[in-house]
Amino acid sequence: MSRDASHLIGENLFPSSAFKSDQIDLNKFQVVQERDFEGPRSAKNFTPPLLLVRKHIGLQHAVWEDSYLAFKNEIVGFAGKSDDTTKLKAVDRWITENRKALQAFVALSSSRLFKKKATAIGASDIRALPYDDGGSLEISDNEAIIAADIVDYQSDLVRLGDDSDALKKSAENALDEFARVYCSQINVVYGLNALVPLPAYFWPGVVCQPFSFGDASSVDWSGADKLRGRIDRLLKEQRGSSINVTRIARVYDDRFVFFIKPNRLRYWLRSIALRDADETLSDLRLQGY
Amino acid sequence: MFADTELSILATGHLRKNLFPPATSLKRILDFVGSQLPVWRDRDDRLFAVAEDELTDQLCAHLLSASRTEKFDFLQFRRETRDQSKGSRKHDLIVAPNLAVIEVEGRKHTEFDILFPLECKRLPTPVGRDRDEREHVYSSKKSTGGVQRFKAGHHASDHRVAGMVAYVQESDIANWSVRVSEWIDGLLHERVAGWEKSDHLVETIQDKRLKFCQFLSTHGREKKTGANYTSSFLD
Repeated sequence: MSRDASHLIGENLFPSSAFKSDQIDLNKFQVVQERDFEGPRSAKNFTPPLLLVRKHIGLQHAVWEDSYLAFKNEIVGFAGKSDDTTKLKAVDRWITENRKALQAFVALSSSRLFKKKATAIGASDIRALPYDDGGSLEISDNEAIIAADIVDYQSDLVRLGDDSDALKKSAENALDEFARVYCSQINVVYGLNALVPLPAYFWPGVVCQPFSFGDASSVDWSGADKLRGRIDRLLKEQRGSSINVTRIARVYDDRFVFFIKPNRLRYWLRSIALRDADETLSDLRLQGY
Repeated sequence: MFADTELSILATGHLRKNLFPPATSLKRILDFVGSQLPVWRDRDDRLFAVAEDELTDQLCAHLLSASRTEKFDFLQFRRETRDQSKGSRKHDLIVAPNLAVIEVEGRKHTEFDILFPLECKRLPTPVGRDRDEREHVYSSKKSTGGVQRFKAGHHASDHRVAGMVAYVQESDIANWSVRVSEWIDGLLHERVAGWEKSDHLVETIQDKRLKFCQFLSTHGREKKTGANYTSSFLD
């Protein structure tokens, strides 16, 4: 059923593709053509000031103050009164400053994300975003790491599987950050004899990242190359005709901790370093420490 | 294929002996609790409180927040949790794992278990018909003395490490340290069963600027021996 859309016909139209990051690309503006509209809303929905948020996991957003502006249902618009611009800009700033945490919130709570169009989210997801006027989400360092990995890697891992960065990219460039986060968490408890990372050793497809408590002298890797076959067998197992078991190993010896894992980014993310640290803390308590 | 892959984790081997003092992690957690006491006391947004329950409610809330920001987020703090051996008794405040499974002396602790309990007492003890001024240590009127209930196994009988917090509301820590010592001497003089010279508190941290002291004591127990008690005094 078509409803009166005289407040839209001939007006400037802002397509969701006109979001260039958090900027509005004026060159992509169109004009609303005369046709039937099922839900044309009312003129006040399109009267500035407007906070526009794209229904996309990127949460692209912008405040529009200039002129009457129509937009389609891929965008959620918050229309304010003429003196609401400051409030809308505060929300706009909130989304910018807390983007990663808010994206993680949507990724964990949205019923629409990962369905059909995998990066699209619903209007209800945007309306459900937490907002504290003048406040803060008070995200801890570790929570920020987990939120960032959900947004940057784990979402695509769920969506794309083997084609995601977490499985396509190798671990080399992630090892320094993995080691920093892992040591930082372990040293909260065992900083008396602080854990330090040592240079990693690489076999084809496999990385061994060593750490040492209290002494940065390196590991003697002579003969390690001959272990290649055994390491392969240790980390890979075929169960039945279709299930592959990938094993990761945590080895304690003298003052050293060794992580042996496949050379894929997935296993060396900062959030994985936090999980590995939790498990290491548990291991060390079991050892009487 | 990603969808056909399972993960398994193998942990093996041991660190060398004496790399750290025994129970380093529990001591570090107690140190964390101690370090947060002055921070909690001095928070501008903390409502003024006198009653023990209200103070401990506030302390629990503060420790929960601080554990997140200070990277102790593998822990949680809870109030009025039932003792795991004597369900009729409740702990003022307990420390438990937060999702992470923590193992101590071969025993697995999940978030449902108590890693160690903390008892909280005011100094001076409020006056009352059934109150004993020595309640931080011992009560002659009921079995609620702070150290007494730990020694007797009424509290935390299945734990070798526990903690106690003293909210100093009159005088100062130096004075109460002397008084506590005198109370224990008195119990020894009266030959109260189970009390020994080794029950005395040994000062391990004194911070006059922060008005905070920490003491360590080792107590014989009716059924087990060698249990440690860390007492933190906050002025």
